[in-house]
Amino acid sequence: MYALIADCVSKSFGTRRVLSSASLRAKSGEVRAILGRNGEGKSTLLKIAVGRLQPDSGIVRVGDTTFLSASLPVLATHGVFYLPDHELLAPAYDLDRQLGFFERRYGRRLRHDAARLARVEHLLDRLPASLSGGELRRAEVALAITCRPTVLIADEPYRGITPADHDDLTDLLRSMAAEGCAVVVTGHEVPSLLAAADHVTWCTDGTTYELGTPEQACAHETFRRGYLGPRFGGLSPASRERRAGPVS
Amino acid sequence: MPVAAQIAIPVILPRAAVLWGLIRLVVAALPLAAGLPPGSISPSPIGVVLLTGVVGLVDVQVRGERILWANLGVSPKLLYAGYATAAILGEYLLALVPR
Repeated sequence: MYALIADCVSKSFGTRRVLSSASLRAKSGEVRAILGRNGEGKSTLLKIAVGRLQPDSGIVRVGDTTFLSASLPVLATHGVFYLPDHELLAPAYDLDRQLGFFERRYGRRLRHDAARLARVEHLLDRLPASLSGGELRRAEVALAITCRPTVLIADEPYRGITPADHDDLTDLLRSMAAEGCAVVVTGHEVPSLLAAADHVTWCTDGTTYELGTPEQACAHETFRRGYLGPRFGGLSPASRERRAGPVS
Repeated sequence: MPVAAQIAIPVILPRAAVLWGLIRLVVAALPLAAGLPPGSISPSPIGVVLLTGVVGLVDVQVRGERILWANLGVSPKLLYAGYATAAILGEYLLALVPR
């Protein structure tokens, strides 16, 4: 069951065609990694899927509802949560207040429970500017945990955080998937993304290719040649350890 | 009132009131800057309300809150309405002041 589908999406910026026929499918209980070189349209596809950009053609479907012209505020009420590649938290409010907004808005989980699960309970009185990169990411995921989305779209969540924080983030994403959330992530941190993912999608030349599991993706000759590079050593044993478990 | 509005309005209204006041101050200072007698430019209240709404959306963007509000299901229309509501209240109170 796909929780979110962005199908046959095309998008141009001026004369530059970024996406010609790309698709994104987010499946409940699964983490999908969208990989591709810079400028191949990964972030554009994600922004279209969450209604931050309007496609030239294509549709977005969330659950049973099809949107020709989606917007994030509307999709959010259908259970979509968007974690952008830059800061999500508002600089002016402490974390507790922002978690409180989501607790009150969606009423699906107490903010203190979400903070505990994301290990940010000691940061509740802090402003976003005083958090480290890893703390900031965990705090942002805590917002998502509070609203228990059916779909989480995370654009480059591993960017700019330490390897130890990568593991924490992977655990959080996998825990959300274990709860039934459809998680989609992009980025270039291949080991972490492959460790987190159940399924890999390759975004290249304006379109997308479903490569299957990380193992199948790593064995895909064209993908290896075109994206991973000749020195890629394959999945490490550690990356295959998935410490999944329900969040609640 | 929808929950999204219940969350957004208490946050938006105070800052919208300040923004409306600033816009009114700027409008009042414009004639002085242009070397005209005070009060020679009197903007329409509707214009001030519309302007406050537009500047309010810019304010949300500058504060880096747009995606946060969107994830809360708060649309730009609702944010605009929040800012405009404060301006309407301000214009109403201003109209009550004897001249």
